Amino acid sequence: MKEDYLWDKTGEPDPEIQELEQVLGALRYQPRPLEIPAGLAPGRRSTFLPRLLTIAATVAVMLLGAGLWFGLRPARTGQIAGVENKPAITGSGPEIKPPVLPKIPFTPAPVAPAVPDEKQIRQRVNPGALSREVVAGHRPRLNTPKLTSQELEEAQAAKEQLMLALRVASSKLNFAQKKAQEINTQNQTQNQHKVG
Amino acid sequence: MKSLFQKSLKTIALAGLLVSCVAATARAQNPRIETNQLDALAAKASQTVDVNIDERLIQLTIRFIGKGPDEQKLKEIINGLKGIYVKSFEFEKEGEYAVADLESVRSQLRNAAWNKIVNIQSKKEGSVEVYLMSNAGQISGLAVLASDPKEITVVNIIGNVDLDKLSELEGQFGIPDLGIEVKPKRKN
Repeated sequence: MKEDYLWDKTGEPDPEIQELEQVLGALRYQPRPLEIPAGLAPGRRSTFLPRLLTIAATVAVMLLGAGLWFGLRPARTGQIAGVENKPAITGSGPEIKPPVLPKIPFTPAPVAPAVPDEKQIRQRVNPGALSREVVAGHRPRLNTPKLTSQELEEAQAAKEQLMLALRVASSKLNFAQKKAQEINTQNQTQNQHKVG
Repeated sequence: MKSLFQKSLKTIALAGLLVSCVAATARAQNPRIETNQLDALAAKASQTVDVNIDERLIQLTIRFIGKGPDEQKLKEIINGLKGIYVKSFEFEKEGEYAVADLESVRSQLRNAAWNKIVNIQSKKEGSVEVYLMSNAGQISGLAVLASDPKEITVVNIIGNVDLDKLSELEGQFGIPDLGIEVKPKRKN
């Protein structure tokens, strides 16, 4: 069967097919290594620049973050410091003599009196109550109409501190005003003497 | 490639400069002054006053204030405040604190945002400096530095208080008049 030789090269060889094999054989697949033109040959890819850009971008982002953090830190510190710092009046020295305050139905905590045996007496205005809510991570509930007992305690302590702070500020501003008035009076007197 | 690298470096440098400027400006405009560096003086002081009241505590205090006329005035006064911070140290002997201690606080007030409105220097009675920070015509911060040989006090009040309210604050509760003139309002 000549057809067998055509399909699977079995049986009697067909000269006509053999001739075709010879003619087309020149075009058959020849295993050989791939030759790539010199212009298209991939060179060694530089990885230095992308890495450097990545590092530079990272540094820039870190700078940006650090700058913002440092810029905004004082405000945050101020908020936290108000709670973390323990308000305290200590001492055995003379009291700060505050000016007379108006009638408010609340008595601020007095400064500790001098005791000869003990060098320091510390009066704390319940600092634990001040920091409790913030430490617990609660947001201040400022818009609720009623205060809880804990908030009342905290508010009372805060009010004591507030009055103490206003008294200290007041005494210093009083001194500044008094001295400024004295200087003004002296200047006016000197001017009058010069005119006279 | 080289030009791309140079452009990237320039951009990054400019971005860093911009960030630094923004951070410096934000810090300069902050009326809160740091006084933690004075805490070491507490060990030497015979009497220490350290009060830190932030905005949350002020708002809490406002809620606690009653309805009496005096308390309402107090409420109005502190309503615009965002913080009150006081540190005061009294010593038994002279020279217990260094000038550098107060200078560390004073240096924070040496920028365009703060205006020194009172400067009293007296060798016998000590010195008092009063600084104000204003923003768009409104006071956003007050700082008082007071010192004498045996005492050092720093007061820092933060808040958006206008001059009228400040005058009320001066007139009430023993807080003195700072001598700031308020222009009378014109009648139409």
